[in-house]
Amino acid sequence: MLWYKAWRESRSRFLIAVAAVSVFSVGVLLGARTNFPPPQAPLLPYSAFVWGEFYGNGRAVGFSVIALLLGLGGLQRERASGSAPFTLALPITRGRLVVTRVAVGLLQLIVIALLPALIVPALSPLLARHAYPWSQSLQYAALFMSWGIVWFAIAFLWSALFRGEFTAAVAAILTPFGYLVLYGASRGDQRFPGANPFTMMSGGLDRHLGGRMLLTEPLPWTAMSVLVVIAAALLFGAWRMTVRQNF
Amino acid sequence: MNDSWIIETDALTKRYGAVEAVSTLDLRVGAGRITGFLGRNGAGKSSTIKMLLGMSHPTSGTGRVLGHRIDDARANREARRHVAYVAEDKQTYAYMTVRQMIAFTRSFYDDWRPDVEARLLRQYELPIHRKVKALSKGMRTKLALLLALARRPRLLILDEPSEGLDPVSIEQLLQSLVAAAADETAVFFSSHQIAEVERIADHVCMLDRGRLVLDASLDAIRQDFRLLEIGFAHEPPRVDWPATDVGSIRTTGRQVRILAKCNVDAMIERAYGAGAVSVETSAVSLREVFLDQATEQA
Repeated sequence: MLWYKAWRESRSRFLIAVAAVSVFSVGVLLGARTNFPPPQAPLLPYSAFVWGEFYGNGRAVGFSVIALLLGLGGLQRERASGSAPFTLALPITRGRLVVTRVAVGLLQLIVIALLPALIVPALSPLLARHAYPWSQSLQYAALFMSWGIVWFAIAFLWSALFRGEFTAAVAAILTPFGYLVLYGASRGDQRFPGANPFTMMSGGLDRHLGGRMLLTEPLPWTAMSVLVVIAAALLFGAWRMTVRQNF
Repeated sequence: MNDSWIIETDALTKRYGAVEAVSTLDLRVGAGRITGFLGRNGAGKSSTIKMLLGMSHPTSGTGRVLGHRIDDARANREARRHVAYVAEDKQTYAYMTVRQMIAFTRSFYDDWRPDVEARLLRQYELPIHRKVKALSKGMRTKLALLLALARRPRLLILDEPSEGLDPVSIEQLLQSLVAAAADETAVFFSSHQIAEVERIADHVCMLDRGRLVLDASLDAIRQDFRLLEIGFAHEPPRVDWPATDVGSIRTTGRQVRILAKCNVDAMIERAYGAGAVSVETSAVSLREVFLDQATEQA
């Protein structure tokens, strides 16, 4: 039943995100039936159109916001709403509470990352009358997830740390901005181009605008593994904090 | 540590910064009885209960609930399998319906009693399809009580259980607690309603500023506790009253007012020996003991 609890706590955010991504995806494909190729770029490849609509920097930002929102919640939030004593009196460890929330949140994030990956190749021939490769969609889903789990873990950590009802949400939303400011100030785009979250999520193709915008090189598995380790460390920190807190 | 105690703490202490919420508390709660946990606001009752249930960590000292250490997460979880708890706020999950809350809670315990659940649902007239967030405060309290009372735990801990209830529901609650105790469940409850405690408790523990200032059975309070009003012809002399026999001493002019816990006859003798001209004794109620202890400490 802990799964049910974690699901109910995040259900609204998840379903709103699913609805938004689904409606947006289908809407874009339906629009492509009449508006693709655009008159100003009659030679634009369909793959480039899909990249711009689904996997460009703006969409990576949108997915990051969803990941941050899904990471919010937990015992500190319950403390604010008054239900923390009830939860903590249940015969379960705090570690199990944390693990369940993480598992449910990550599953939800995977579903949202896979939505366009399934909708675009499946419905493109039907709605837009063009084909789009499954392999490309699934690779982008993996790229989105790589930073998505980091954003999720950051929001999870802030949620474990801050008591205020909106403090964790504000801190979570501000974190990517802070990171990008530091990244820009340290000239990261020149020294560590792979560390730009939105560039990496977009497959690093923003430098090849005008091309077919297809992933032709292997995924950056090393960088993705590092991100998984970072996310795991953040989640471990949240777990340690939760276990030690006084309620 | 003694196995016959359901709750046992040794020098249990909790500090929040410079504030000592619970101070070297040695608390013993026996099996099969109803123990009232009294104290003013901020006396440390809720802090104590939270440490017993593993919600907050002791600054120092230790304790056991049902023989399980409170400062060991896994041991404390084992204890919580057999403990039912009603928190001060009585908040459950706002997004669940009453029925979902019952199903959720039931899934964690082997000692759930569907017959009691059904009876309490009828008795409390809880709307099972309504979300918790749409319940009144009284209804939320009733739901929290149902989730605790529909089990057969070894220990029932309630923090201000009657707060927000109407008189009829309070009566039902008190009867439920007596029935639970008769069913071999130890009941440990905090309350500001002295009359409730006096009506159903077998034993009373009183905290003031985090310290245990009274630990006695109700029978002992009724039989042994006495209020001595001692009159002197002149300014009262300094008398070394035995600390173990005295709850509190207050001097007003030529009058000395003593709350005696036991050995009243010996104290009367000692008073006359010190030059008292009159000694009046009267029985004391729990309310008087509480007020005496609370104002003495203040």
